[in-house]
Amino acid sequence: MLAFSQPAIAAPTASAFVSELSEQAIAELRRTAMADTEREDRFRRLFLQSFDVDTIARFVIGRHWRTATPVQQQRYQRVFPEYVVKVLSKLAPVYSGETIEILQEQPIEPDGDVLVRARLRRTDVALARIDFRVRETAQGPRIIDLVVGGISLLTTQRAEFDSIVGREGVGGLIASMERMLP
Amino acid sequence: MKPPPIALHLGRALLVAASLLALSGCSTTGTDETANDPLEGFNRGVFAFNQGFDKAVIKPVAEGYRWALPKPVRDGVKNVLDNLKAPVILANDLMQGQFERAGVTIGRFIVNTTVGLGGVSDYASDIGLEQHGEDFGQTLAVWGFGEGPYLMLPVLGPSNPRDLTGLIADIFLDPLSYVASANDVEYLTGVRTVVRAIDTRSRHIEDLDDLERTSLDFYAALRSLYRQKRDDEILNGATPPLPIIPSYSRSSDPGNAQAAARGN
Repeated sequence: MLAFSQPAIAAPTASAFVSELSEQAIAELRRTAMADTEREDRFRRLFLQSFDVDTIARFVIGRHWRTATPVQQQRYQRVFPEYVVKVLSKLAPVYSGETIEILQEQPIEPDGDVLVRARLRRTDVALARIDFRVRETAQGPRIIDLVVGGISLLTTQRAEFDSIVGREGVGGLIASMERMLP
Repeated sequence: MKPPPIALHLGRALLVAASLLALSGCSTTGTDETANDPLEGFNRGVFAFNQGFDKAVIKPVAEGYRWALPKPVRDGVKNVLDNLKAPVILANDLMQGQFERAGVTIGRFIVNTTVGLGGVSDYASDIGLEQHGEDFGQTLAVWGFGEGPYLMLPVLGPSNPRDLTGLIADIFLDPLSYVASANDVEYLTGVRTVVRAIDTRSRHIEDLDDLERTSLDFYAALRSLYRQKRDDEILNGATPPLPIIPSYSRSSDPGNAQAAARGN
């Protein structure tokens, strides 16, 4: 609870990063009337600047990365961010006055990540728990995973990808991701 | 006075429960790497049926329900049903040794039944007695029973032997089952189940549509969601053991790029 109120920490903390990002996200998505493409563009900007996209892409394809051909690997790395942006902008509800209240920071052993636990609120109503898994990278803090109400985006995506690769191979996975994009 | 018919089913149900539990092995949580779905072929068949049944019956009824009744009425219905669950939640709070939460459950039931006018209003949440669920499937998990293989139940949806056992046990834990049975109005428990299902479905029309539209493999996504949700409920929201995630950043920094190329 008090991890980020200790005066000894000089560097910007993971919770400061998350609260800055959520303020930015709220400012960007606040405008009510917005075309789908405009909304996607904003999601893309937020996603690319604040998530460790490469790490996420590799984690969710898991062991199947090694069975992919170099060409498939390149195609996968190209299509993955676009696919996530598409899914996120479709699944995230239209912004209607929610705020994100940060509750506490929790270190994750052993890899040094920090779990920032937060709550999505609308005025007085707590809507959902959101945990941000944050990693300090060479580019600064980046989000590795979002856990909403106990459901991890990474775990879900990895399970889904694993199932598709099992049925249709890596090529089938990439093709079905590409089909979702215009 | 004849014995309530529900008591006659008890022995049979316990036998079913025991054999289901025997299937469920010993590991406690489902956060392993495998899909845990040896019956996948069968499950996908049931899932296809469920989706058809949902599109033909459940979803239209849920949409009609949402169209016909204003939100305050639907919220009142949900609150009453939630309030009626209190005895089962309390029993499971206690069997898990969660005495503080048991106190909250009792407090909620008293406040909502009286001030909340028979449960129509969830006044308890307004005064800090927040709602939580518990069921016997979770209690079994707390006691150390494993989930067993993933099961797609007809109409009822995602489950596993542990949760199916819990579902059956909770019927017997519910005093209302006995009250209804003693008064020959057993059908009321059926009515309650159906209304609950319609209400729940009516609250997830858009998000399930969106999820299906954005899923590459809807069956696999739901399977993962169900197992994660149950683990979260079992842990009452505490942080589960998180997976180790290696860094794969392809940064512009040449040192890092080389490290990544070497596979470090």
